[in-house]
Amino acid sequence: MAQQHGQTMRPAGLDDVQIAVANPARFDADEHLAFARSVDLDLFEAEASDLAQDDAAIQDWSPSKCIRTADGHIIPRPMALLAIEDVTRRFGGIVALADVSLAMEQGQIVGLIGPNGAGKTTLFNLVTRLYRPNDGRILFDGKDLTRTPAHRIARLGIARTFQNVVLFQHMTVLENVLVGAHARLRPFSERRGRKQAQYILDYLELGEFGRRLPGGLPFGTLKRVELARALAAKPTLLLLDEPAGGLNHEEVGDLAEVIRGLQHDLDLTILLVEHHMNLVMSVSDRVHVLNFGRKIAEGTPGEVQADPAVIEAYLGAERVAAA
Amino acid sequence: MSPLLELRRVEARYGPIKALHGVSLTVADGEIVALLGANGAGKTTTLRAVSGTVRHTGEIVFEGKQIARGKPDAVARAGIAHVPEGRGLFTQLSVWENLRMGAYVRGERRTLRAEAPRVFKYFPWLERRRDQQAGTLSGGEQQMLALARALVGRPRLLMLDEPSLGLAPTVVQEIFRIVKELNADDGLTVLVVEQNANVALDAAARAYVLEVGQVAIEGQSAELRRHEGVRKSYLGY
Repeated sequence: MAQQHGQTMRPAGLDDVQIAVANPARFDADEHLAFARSVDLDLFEAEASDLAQDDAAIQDWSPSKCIRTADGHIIPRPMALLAIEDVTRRFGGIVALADVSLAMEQGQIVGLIGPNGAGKTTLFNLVTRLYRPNDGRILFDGKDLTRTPAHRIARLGIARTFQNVVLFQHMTVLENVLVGAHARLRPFSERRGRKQAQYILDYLELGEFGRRLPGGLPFGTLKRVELARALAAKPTLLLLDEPAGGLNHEEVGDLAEVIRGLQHDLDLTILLVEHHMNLVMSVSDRVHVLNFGRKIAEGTPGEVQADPAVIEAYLGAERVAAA
Repeated sequence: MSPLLELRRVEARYGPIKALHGVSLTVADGEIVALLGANGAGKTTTLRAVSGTVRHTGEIVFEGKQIARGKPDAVARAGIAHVPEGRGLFTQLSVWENLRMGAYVRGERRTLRAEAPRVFKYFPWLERRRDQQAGTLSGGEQQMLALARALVGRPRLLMLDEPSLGLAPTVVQEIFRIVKELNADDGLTVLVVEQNANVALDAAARAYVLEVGQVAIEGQSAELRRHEGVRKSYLGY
């Protein structure tokens, strides 16, 4: 089978782990091991005898371009990091999503817009497995998430924020971020976790809030704390639900810089739900538009903004007049 | 004429952190006034100080009387309705039960009988869906229900905290259209905190800009639209 792919395999071990990681520069050796244990148990369960031995050939494979399958084969990373295929989700008689497909390539920022009730958050809840689709499938890194329990999602490399901010109110900001780190630190080290959490808080200019409780912090700051918690889980795919809430125009501009920085510096793939059109249109590589659970448009920001169906359902006439 | 609402050097804090450093502003009867400001500038805290949900020092005068400190129920009965950031609906209760909660401040049955038809005139779909659980409404519908709940108490002053939050552009336009209509038809006075400065300045005659817990800029909306700092930070042109 390996020969069919024209690639080589070798026994699973410490340095194989980087294959599964989008950007190995972010991990130290301890974490490679920890990551392997937490993420890809299959790696260790693979039969060593089934695996080929050519180490050298592997060096040519950029970790972001290939993955190891459950049975130990190294294959090119599929085109789409996330592939949502014909997904339908119903709640009682209401069809929240009907046959929706969406593909995201590694390193892309994809905007998801649409009227309230269009199914955007439902889509997030399907990808993070809070819901199970009634129909269709969701592939992450080629792996079908349909049978993955919600508690394994973060360890696979998917992290999210929530529209209405879901933080632990009786824990400090730092401790909240530490919860994100817990998902990926194996073996867990409190000291290293705190160091990482503080590093992320500083990176997002939240350092001064570490010891504060969320209550009493402004909404825009809480949204950023959620972003910090998501980043602490070291995701490859980040789902952001309205990150611009509570921010003025200038602050939204800063947030756009932060989001581009995540894409550029951390090689993150980002799915962005947002009503702030300046933000969506300035950072997204592609934009998808939902309305009543169906996709009504998809394209570059420019194409979507000019689409009459999108103007009618979502942007409204005033926006067009202003543009 | 004395203003309907006046804040004089109002200060408020969360534990050791001071959020308001002496805010002074006025809202005249029948006016729509917008309150702009960066994240953390004190906009929400200003509304909370008025409605008595955070403690304050300084004076807050409504209809010529000092409002009761730390007594949100008394403030609500005095005719100030606060639609909080994030709407604050009773998500487990039905649409109708949420409206009953809004009427509660003025004697529920009588108020509902009198006010519900008036509110349904602005939000006709609410009547059709009165038994639906509030938490299952879409974001835009929830914001409208929160607004309707405030209105059934027939307030003299309506305080809205970021009504556009999480709403699609078309819905934001709809909400502000209704607010302007309420102001024009019923003379409802409105103090609105809003990050969508374009739509807020369009609806409001005057606006205040808060910076670090103090009023930094105030003026007519048209003046603020020409203000360089406001354009850069809030309007983006």
